[in-house]
Amino acid sequence: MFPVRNAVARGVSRQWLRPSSLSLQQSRAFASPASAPFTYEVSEAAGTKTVSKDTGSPTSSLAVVIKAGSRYQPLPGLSHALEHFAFKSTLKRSSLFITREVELMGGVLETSLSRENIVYKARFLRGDLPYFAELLGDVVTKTKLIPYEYTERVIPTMENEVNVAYSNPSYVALESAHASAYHHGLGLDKLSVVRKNFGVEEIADFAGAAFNQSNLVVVGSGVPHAELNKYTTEFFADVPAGKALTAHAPTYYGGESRAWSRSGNSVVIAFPGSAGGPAFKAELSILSYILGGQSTIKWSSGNSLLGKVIEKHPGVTAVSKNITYSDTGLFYIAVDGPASSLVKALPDVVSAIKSVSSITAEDLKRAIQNAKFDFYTAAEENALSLESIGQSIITTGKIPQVQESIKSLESVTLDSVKKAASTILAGKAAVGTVGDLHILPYASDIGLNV
Amino acid sequence: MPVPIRRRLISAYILTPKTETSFITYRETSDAVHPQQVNHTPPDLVSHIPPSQTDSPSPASASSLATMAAVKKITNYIIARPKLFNFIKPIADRYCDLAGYRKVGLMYEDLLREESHTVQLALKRLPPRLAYDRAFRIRRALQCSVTHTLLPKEEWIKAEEDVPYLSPYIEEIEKEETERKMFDALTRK
Repeated sequence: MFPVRNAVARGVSRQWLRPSSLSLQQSRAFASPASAPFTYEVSEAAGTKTVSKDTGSPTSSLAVVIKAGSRYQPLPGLSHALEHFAFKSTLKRSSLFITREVELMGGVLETSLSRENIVYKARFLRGDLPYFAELLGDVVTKTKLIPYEYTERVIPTMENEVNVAYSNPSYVALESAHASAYHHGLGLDKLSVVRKNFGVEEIADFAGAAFNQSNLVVVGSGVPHAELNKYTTEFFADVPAGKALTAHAPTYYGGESRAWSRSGNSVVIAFPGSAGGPAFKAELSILSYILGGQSTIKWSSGNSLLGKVIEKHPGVTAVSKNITYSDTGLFYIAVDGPASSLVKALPDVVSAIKSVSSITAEDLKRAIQNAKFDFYTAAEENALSLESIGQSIITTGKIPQVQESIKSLESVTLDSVKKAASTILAGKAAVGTVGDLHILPYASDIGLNV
Repeated sequence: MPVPIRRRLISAYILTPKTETSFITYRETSDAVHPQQVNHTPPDLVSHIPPSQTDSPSPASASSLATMAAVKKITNYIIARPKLFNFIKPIADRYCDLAGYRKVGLMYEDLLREESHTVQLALKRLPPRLAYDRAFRIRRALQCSVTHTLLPKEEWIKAEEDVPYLSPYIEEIEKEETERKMFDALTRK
């Protein structure tokens, strides 16, 4: 976002100060003191794990995080299909009924799919918790999975999502980098590109294996914990106890994959990165901020290492990121732009990683500040962090320790970052190249080991 | 004890929409087999007919009525009154016999007027197996019509085979339409 936070925040707070904008019932919620921002309460409601924090905000979010993302699917595309079956007809109501009712209540229903999780999420006005808890419980335990809904509603939307995603060369490049890096499990496509060998019965089987107390957690934000427990006990009672799903243990291979695309050019250079949770390696996270590439200021490419590179190559963007998974992570640099410029920019990108060895203490400090800001923002954002909290509860049984992570970010030293950069460069890279293959260089041409 | 989720999900799949012919339990993926090689197991009882009166279920007799729901309503009205039922049933059986569609290998619901959005959609929703059987019956009947013959007697559709296989889907679609209309006309108080 742009640096207009203060102005926005001021406007919001003023509006809320006006007593007329609040109904009586809501203002009572405001009167209770807001708890500290990162204090989550964790408990079990009739076997189903619940986590929540109550900041006293006028809107609430409730999410069911299910450890059933694409790395756990037995057949390619099952997770995607299951995700798209969310909020379809259940034994209690039809999908139209759900949509219209939620519209009347002013709520928002969302689903998301990652390589780790399927998330069913609802955002709504504070007072509507019972309804939405019931709805999510209904969706998780009583979706009918009707064959004709699959063909009429689910497949077209899935296909649309796949078409949109795969017409974007950056997306395809990141998927190919995943494939080169991990081969199986995490390496497989997240979306349902190939939809073979399964129908509604297989989806039902997968749902049966995934939707149980070991894989599922109910995460609330802006929700009183006692109430959440009460309604979870009531509406998630049908979630059975069961075994946790297991995935292919990730092995990092590295390598290169190239694919033609007419819609643009993108190269993703990936390295083994930092996992989330207890295995969090702060120096890799900091390294991604030192390399940067994404400016925090408008009309400027920023002062990070990659920012300086792309300044020399008009039309090229280069962004470094670290994706964390529960047991591993992928550190990558995504470079997009016209093929002819990419040829010149890519060697510079690689030399930017090498030039980490000569960064100063000030660069490090700036990176740490940026990292801290982003980390806090992500943790604060009510709806954003629900998935990561849920995932942390499912895998480790504990909520993510924000302050500890911040501390580890702060304790990163120049030496550790330099060492991290030289280690990843010495190891094998996983490169995904998408676009005009006639022009785009091979990984060995730009000075990478694959 | 709650039913395990998996079983519930699958049973929901199998039982939806609510129809209790034996066909519906075929898996979606099963290959179509030529109907003459299939042993037609006697279908289960049609849900709305009490067990004592199911020896020869009378088919819904008014395809020209507005909706399937209306037909079902009339059927239920008659069934609920044993005297009326006993009066109507011989007439209905005789009607079906005279209509002759079973003698060319058709089921009653093959004759439903399909030139409507609802029935077209219902036909699309039929599981592949049922759709295949339906197409086969209609072709066979057409052939009978062309050659001005009836099928050999052992291939006639028996009364107990003449089950409503399509109407559950039509009812489901009508229900959806009704619900949609209800929500479209909804006003906030």
